[in-house]
Order: sequence, then structure tokens, then C-alpha cells
Amino acid sequence: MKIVHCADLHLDSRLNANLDEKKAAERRQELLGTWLRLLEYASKHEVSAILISGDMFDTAAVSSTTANAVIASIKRHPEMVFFYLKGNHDTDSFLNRAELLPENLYTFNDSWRMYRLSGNIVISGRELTNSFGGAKLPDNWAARTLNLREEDYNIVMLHGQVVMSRGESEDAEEIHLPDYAGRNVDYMALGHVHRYMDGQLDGRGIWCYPGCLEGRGFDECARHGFVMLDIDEDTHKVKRQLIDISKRHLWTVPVDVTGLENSVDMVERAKAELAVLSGTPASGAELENIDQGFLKEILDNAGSGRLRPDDMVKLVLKGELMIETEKSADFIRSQLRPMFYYIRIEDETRRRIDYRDYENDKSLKGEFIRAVRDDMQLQEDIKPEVIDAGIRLLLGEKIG
Amino acid sequence: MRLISAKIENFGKLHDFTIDFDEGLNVFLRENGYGKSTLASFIRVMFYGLSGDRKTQDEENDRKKYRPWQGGSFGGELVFEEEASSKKYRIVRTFGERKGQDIFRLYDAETNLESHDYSENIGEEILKIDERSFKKTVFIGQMELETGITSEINAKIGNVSEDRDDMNRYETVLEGLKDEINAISPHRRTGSIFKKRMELEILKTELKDKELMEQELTQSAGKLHEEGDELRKLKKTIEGLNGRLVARSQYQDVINDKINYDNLIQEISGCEHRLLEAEKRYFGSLYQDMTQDMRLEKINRGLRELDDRFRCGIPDEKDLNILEKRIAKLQFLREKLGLMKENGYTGRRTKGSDGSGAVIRLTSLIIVVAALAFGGWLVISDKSTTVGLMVAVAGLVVALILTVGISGSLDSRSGANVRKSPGINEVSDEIDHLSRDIASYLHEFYPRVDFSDVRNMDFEAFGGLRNDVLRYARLCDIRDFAGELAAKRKAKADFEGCHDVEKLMNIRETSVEEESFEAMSRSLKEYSAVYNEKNEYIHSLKAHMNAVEEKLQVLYEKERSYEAGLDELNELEQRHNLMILVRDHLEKAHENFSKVYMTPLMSAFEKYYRIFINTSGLQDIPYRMDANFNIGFMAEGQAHSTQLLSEGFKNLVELARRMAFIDAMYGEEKPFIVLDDPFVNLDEVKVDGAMKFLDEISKYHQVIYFTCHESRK
Repeated sequence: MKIVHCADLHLDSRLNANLDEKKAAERRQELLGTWLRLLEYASKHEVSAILISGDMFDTAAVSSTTANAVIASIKRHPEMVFFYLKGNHDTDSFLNRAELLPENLYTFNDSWRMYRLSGNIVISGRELTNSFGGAKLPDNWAARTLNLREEDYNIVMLHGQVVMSRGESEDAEEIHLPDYAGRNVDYMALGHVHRYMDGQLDGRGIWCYPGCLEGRGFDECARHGFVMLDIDEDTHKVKRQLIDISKRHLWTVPVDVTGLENSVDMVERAKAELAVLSGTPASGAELENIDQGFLKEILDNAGSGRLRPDDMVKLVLKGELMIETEKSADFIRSQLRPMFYYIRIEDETRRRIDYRDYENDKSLKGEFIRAVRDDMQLQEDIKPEVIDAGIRLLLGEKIG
Repeated sequence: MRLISAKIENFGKLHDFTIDFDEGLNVFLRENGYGKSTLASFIRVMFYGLSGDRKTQDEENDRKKYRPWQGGSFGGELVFEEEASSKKYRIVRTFGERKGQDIFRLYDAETNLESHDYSENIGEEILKIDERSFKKTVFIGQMELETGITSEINAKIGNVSEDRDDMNRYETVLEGLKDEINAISPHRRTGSIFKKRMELEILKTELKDKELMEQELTQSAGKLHEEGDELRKLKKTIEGLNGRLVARSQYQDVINDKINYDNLIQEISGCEHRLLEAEKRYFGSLYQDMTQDMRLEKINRGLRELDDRFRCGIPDEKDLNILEKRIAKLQFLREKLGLMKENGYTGRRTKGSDGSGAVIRLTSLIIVVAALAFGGWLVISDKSTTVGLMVAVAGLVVALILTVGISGSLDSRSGANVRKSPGINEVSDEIDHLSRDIASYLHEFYPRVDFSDVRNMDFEAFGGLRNDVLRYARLCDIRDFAGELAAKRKAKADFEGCHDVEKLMNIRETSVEEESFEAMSRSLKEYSAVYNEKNEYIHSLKAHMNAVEEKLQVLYEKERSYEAGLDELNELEQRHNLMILVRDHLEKAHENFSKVYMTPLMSAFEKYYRIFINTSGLQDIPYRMDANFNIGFMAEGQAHSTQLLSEGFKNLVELARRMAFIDAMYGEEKPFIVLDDPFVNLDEVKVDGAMKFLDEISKYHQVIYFTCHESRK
């Protein structure tokens, strides 16, 4: 039997952080589109059940379009059953949008609910709370009240952060893994963490976060998708696979521009790196200046997919620049923008200022640098910025 | 510092070149193209190394510019004396393709041992001035004075160390900074930060509604769900009610059917009973002994016979009475005629005997009729059929006897009934007349009887007509009942054909708890009203939600602008802070710079200026130095640009200023000064002053003066 496990779709996410309203709206539609692609994929591969481990929506106030689309999509696939556990972001208000819920949609509440999917595959789930009717529940209440039969293949759906020891936070959404050990759990279908993660629960079971279906922000660059479980109902052997059907991927690409003298050179360096990530490295001299091992690491994190023009890129300029180096983020952006759906330039370069160089500079500039250097009230990390700005102004350049 | 000698292996155009320097003024009269500038650069490079390695233009890149034209070892050595320590050093530098290949060595010039007193950055270490400042101070080029003291050059000199004029720009920069700080000030109404904060404040207030609206939306959604639930329940109730109503009305139909059927069955049995009674009445006591077929045959035969008889109508009671009266009268007349003929008496009758006979017969007739009537009444009224029949039969017997008696008397008299006389004739005529009437009446019912001899016809034989009428009435009853029965049976069969009779028979009786049809209709109506109301409410709820969603959409856009605005504000604030920091530190730098250099500069300027124009210290010099170290010419209490001065004066002022800088900027170790023919513009008088100036500065500095003209030697 095949089961799809997904979580943290965050449909209707505002996506204000990076994109303008037009692109954000487009991207919102894309997130919904990816959900529909998941269903198509599942249908094509004869999946029996879809597990949604929470945060399907970003907000309780789900738009009617999205709510209706999701409900309609569930209705359109009567061949599959859906198990929806709500997360901390969404409430079940989307369900309320439907006057009539799809018959193939099963939900959970704050006590264990179990569904027997077939002869011996059981899906259990529960919303995590640490109180019941105002009374605080014992710490491991949820785990203690989970009674699973040894002979079943037990899938347990939860939404929260796994922790190994209690007291890391007062959060109800803390899943203390040791509590669940030895409770006949085979697969803990988790949601909440936005990137793929898994681990061993005990001798029998594992836990797994599929991560979000598509990255939304640049903190979600790693590979994304849903987990496909293929369970042999007789032997309980499971094949597990992360399937990536993202429309776009997000990449954070650090570019070390140390020693470069102008924006043109920086664009070339960045282009060379992006070309390597795209799998089309130019045989330029720039290649020598690039840390290939580092790029390989980025590719590995991305699940060995390649950078594509549809993707969203955050370019982080790093390294040390001379004080007189010309650098314009605007120019760099304008040069790289046509290459991708979205690109953002983040400047983390530092100006290298060796105060000794200016020790004997008998000029206003020298005095300025020394004045900044000697200002005891000014934080060290802001000094280079002040010096850079002042010198740029004295050079007749604009700053900012 | 004093230069002692230089030995150049290869440096630019200079090749295998050795030069010795004296203390004080060294004048080199050389023509243009000799390599003065190259020599001056060599001296600098010995102290500071090659500069401008990163520069692409040959002019700015020492390594490219001075790479030996003819090849060979690139570099040379320079011997100098450090005045503070009176130590002599020899700097040896050779340059390769790259900086890494450059070699620097420092030797003690007296012992020839390698010295580590200074590093390759020896220039800066000894002179406490960096290479760029050095370049701008100690080397006074030809062009600088030659082209006149433009404001740019002024600034360049003021800005002793930089290729571009940061001092000159200081005012502009500061002004720009102040403007921008004001423009983005958080304290001014027009400041960007102030405005942005206001804008964000307003947006924030508007966004307060967001949560409310989201709550509103989720609550509405919840309500929608609940209402939907209720609506569904209502729908079910209504459907249930509807179903019950339909079932109810169907049941009603069935009940009606059942009643109809039962009625039909009852009617049939009624019919059967009536038919049986009619048959029994018809057949009388014979009924028991006859089979059904015999009865049927008899009935049919009787009907055929009587149908035929009465095909033109059935005589009614009145007609029959009249007929019987006539027949009786005829009989009477016949007897009378017979008597008259017997007695030979015409027109007379023996009334007595006739009268007594008639009385007897009349009495007998009344008894017959009474017996028949009583019997018949008994039969019809079912009081006692047997007794009734017996009475009737007795009546009939009496009637029969009577009839025979009458006919006998008629027979006995008929032949004698001849009317010869008017009495007899009258009677005879009347008899004829009566006979014809009777015959014509009877003919209707007995068409096959020959009525030709009516005069002698015995009409008593037709006394059965009344009986036949009675019989026919009964037969017709039987036929009608049979027909009715057949019709009913057919109806029953038809009914059974299109109804499930078994089910119909098994149907339970109406239960008492069942609501009435009306009650159900009423609650259906009520529920439907609630349903419609709810439906309406759901529609309005949806519309409301759509409205909220639209408003939320606007709010989301505002939220987006708010977030973007926060970023902008943050950027503005950072920029504002940065600007303030830059401004403050620039001002501080300027203050420091002025404090350190301004006063010494002005006094040094004064000193050199006096050398030039040879004035005593008592006389005020008409020049001022501004914050940017620009020299202004004072006239009538106002500073004017030195541009107004003659070329010569400008050059002098500039030279004095330059020397003032050297004095002010170099500390313990006085530098040597290289002059590359700067006095080309001076007239003779001023050249004298310049020469005096040279002599004067040579007292404190080693001066290396290149000129290409004897007059300026």
C-alpha cells in the first residue's frame, strides 16, 4: 500500500518577505498548484492515503478560493483517503468553509483517533495540547494514552517539534521522542519543521518530517517535497522516498568577492558560480577562484537538483573588500536579474581597513579614519561602514 | 634627511646612472628630457617601493611606467643620512615582474652591514608620512606653478595626500550630509523618517482591524459550518416529512381501495342474495328440487317466451283490471244472451237468478283476490312464505273453480245467446263489440292465437295474462340481478387485476399515533420556512464573508506595505544614523586637521612669503588661510581669490604655501625637496626673490633643484 506523507504546505502564505505583491500572488497560486500536482502524482501511482501533518494553511483566515480549491481537490480524488491533522498555523476553519466535508477526509482532535486503513495498517493522530479543560495534563500524557497493537503497522501523525529532553520549552508542541519509544510506533508522520528530517525512534520505528512542499523563503532552501511510503502489508517492510515536485527551488549562494575591485568583476564571479550550480560551468579563469567543494555541498543539500531559471536565488556577497573597491548591489542585481525568476543580492562584505595604513596619512581623510577609529563610543563593527561612507563621500561618490 | 648619492641600474629611461647630492641646495642645469622626473620618482620609489600595482594605466602604475626601457636589472640604490640619528643608510631595491619578486635591502652605509632598523616601508617609518602625501609635498612639479594657481591645484595642495580633493569637497560633503540628514530627519515634519513613521503609524492602526477581521472570517466560517449542518438536518427532516406525507397519502389511497373492494364484495354478496331470493320466489317450492342448470333453462325459456309476449310493452294493473272487467262483462252478456234466447224473451232477463249468481261469483272473486293478495303479501314480506304460498294457492284454486264455473255457465248459455229482438240484438252487438275490443287488446300479447272467431272465443283462457305479468316481473328481476351481479363480479375482477389484493387484505388498520395529514403538512410548511430562512442566512453569511475577505485583501496589501515600510524605515534610520556618524566624525576630523596644521601652516606661510617679497615682520601680510587651507587675498577687509593676483604672485603664494605644508607636516625628520623648474613664469624681479627663497629653504632642507635655463640657476 502506498501512502503519501506531507506537511507544512502553508497555503495562502502572504510571502511578503521577498516578493512583490504580483509575484507573491503568483507564488501563492503555485503553492496551491504544487498541492494539486502532488494529488495527480499520488493518483497516478495508486496511492491509497494522503497524510497531512499540519500547517496546510498559513493562517486561520483561509481565503475562500484556496479553501474551496483544496476541498474540491480532495473530493475529486475519491480513490484516496485524506488524513488531516491541523497544525499551529491553521485551524480547521478551512473545513468550515465547506458546508459539506468530503467523505474521504478524516480529521483529528485533541485525543487519540485511530483509523484502520486496511487489515493491519492503522493511522493514529492527535492534536497536541498540554491541558484538558483548563487542567494541565501530565507531561507525557499523549504518549501514555497511545495504545497501539503490536501486530499492526502503526503510523502516528503529530504536529510539533521533536526534542530529546523535556523542558526545552513550555511549548505544547514539543514531541518528547523518548516517550514514544517502545509503543509499537512504526512511522511517526510529523509536521512543523520545514525541511526534511528523520531519525530512529526506537528499535522498531522512525520519525520523519517531510518538510514543506515548496520552499517559501530563503530559510527553506534545502530539498523539498513529500514522503512516499510503500508498505508491504504482509511483511511491514517499507520503502521510503522523498519526492520533489516543487515548481521552484530556492537557493542561497554565497559568493566570495574578496580582492575583487569592482562590480563588473563581482558579476563575473557570481555568474561563474551560478553556472557551476546550473551544471553548465564555463571554462573561464573565474573557475579557479571558486571553491568547488563548497558549491557541491550546496548542490547536495538541494538534493542534487540543478539551479534552473525558474528558481529563486539569494546571492550573498561575502569576503573583504578594499576601501576603494567599487561595489554596487544595484548593478549586480540588474546584471543577474534576467537569469532567474527572482534574485536577491545580500551584501555581507566587509571593507578591509588597516588603520596602520592611515597612521601617517596627513589628510582630512586620514584624520577622519583616525577620528572614527578613536571613537570609543562607536561599536567596532560599525566603524568600517562609517569610514567607507565618509571616504566615498569625500571621493565625490554617492553612498547607499 | 639628507640624500647622499643614488645609483640607478635601470629605472625608466635612466640606465647605469650615478649621482651625488650635496647638503643644502643642489642645482642641476639639465635640458628637458634628461629624466628629472624619473630621477625624482626613483628617489621616492627607493623609500616607498613601487606603487600603483593595481592600476591598469601605465601612467599610474610604477612597475609598468619605470620598467627599464632597455631591459636589465630593474632597480638601484640610494644612500642617505637620517638627521635625527646621523646614521647613514643604503637602500637597495630590485624589482621583479610582481611585487612578490621585489627585493629590499637596507645597509648601514658606513659598516656595509645589513641593517634592520627599518623595513621596506622605510619612507613612512622615517618621515611619518605616507607615500601619497610624500608625493604631493616634497616634489614640486613644473606644471603646478606653471599653469597658475587654479582653485583645483589649491585644493590639491591643501589636500596634500590625495589624488582627489577631499578638503575641497569637505564643505560640499558636509552640506550634502546636513541636507540629507535633515531630509530624512525623524524630528522634522518633512523628514522622510518622520513621514514614514507617521505613515506606518496610520497603517498600523488600520491593521488593528486585521485580526478582528480574520477572527470575523473564521467565526463566520464556523457559523457557516454550523448553519450548514443545521441546514442539512433540516433538509433531512423536511425530506422525512415529505416522505411520510407521500406515504401517508399513498396509504390513504390504499385504504380507499380496500374500502372500495370491501364494498364491492359486499355488493356482490348482496346481489347474490337478491338473485337467490328472486329465483326462489320465482320457482317457489320447486326451487329445492331443481338443479342450477334446470333453473337456468327454465328462466331462460320463460324469459324468451315472455320477452316475446311483452315485446311491445307490459300491461299495467289498470289495463289488466279493465280487461278482466270486460271479460267478466262479456261473460255476463253472453249468459244473459243465452238466457234471453232460452226464454225466447227478447230484451228481458231473469234478474233474480242472474243477480244471485252474480253475487255468489262476486263473493267468490273477492275471496280469491283476498287470498291471493294475502298470500302474495305474506310471500313478499317474507313473513311466512309457506303459509303465504298456501293461501295464494288456495286462492288460485278457488279462482280456478270459479273460472270453470263461469266458463261452464258461459258454455251453457252461448248457443242461446241470439239477439233477435232489439233486446237480444243489443246484447249481441255489445258482445261483438266487447269481444273485438278484448281480442284486439289480447292480440298484442298473443300474436299467434287466432282471434278470427272472437264471438265465440273463450277469453277466460287469457286470465293467465296477469300471472304472466307477475312472472315476467320476477324473471326480469332475476335477469337484472344476474346482470348486476355479473357487472359487479367484472368490476371485482378488474380491481383485482390492477391491485395487489393480498396486500390490500393484509393492510393494517390506521394507527392512532400517526399524525394527521394536516399536522404533517403544517410542520412541513414550518420547517420549509426555517429552511429557507437558514438558506437565506447562509447566503448572507457567504456574502458577508466575501466582503470581509475583500476587506482583508486590502488589509493584506496594507500589511505588505507596512512590512515594506518598516524595512524602509529601518533602512532610513540606519542611513540617518550613518549620516550623523559620518558628519560628526568628518567635523571632528576637520577640526583635528585644522588644529594640527592650520596655525603652523599660517605662520610657515607667512615666513616663506616674507622671504619672497622681503618684508619685515612688522608689516601685516594681506593673506588669510581658510578652513580648507586655501589662501585668500585680503583687500578692504574681504578675502579674495588669489586668482586676482598676477601669475607671478600666484606662484609665489603657492610656493610659500607648499613649503608651509612641508614644515607643518614633517616632524623631526626634515625631508629633501625636489623642485622641477617651477619658476618659469616669474619675471626677473621675482626670480631674484625666488632665488633668495631657494637659498633660504636650503638652510633647513636639502634642495634638489632642476632647471633648464641659466637665468633660473
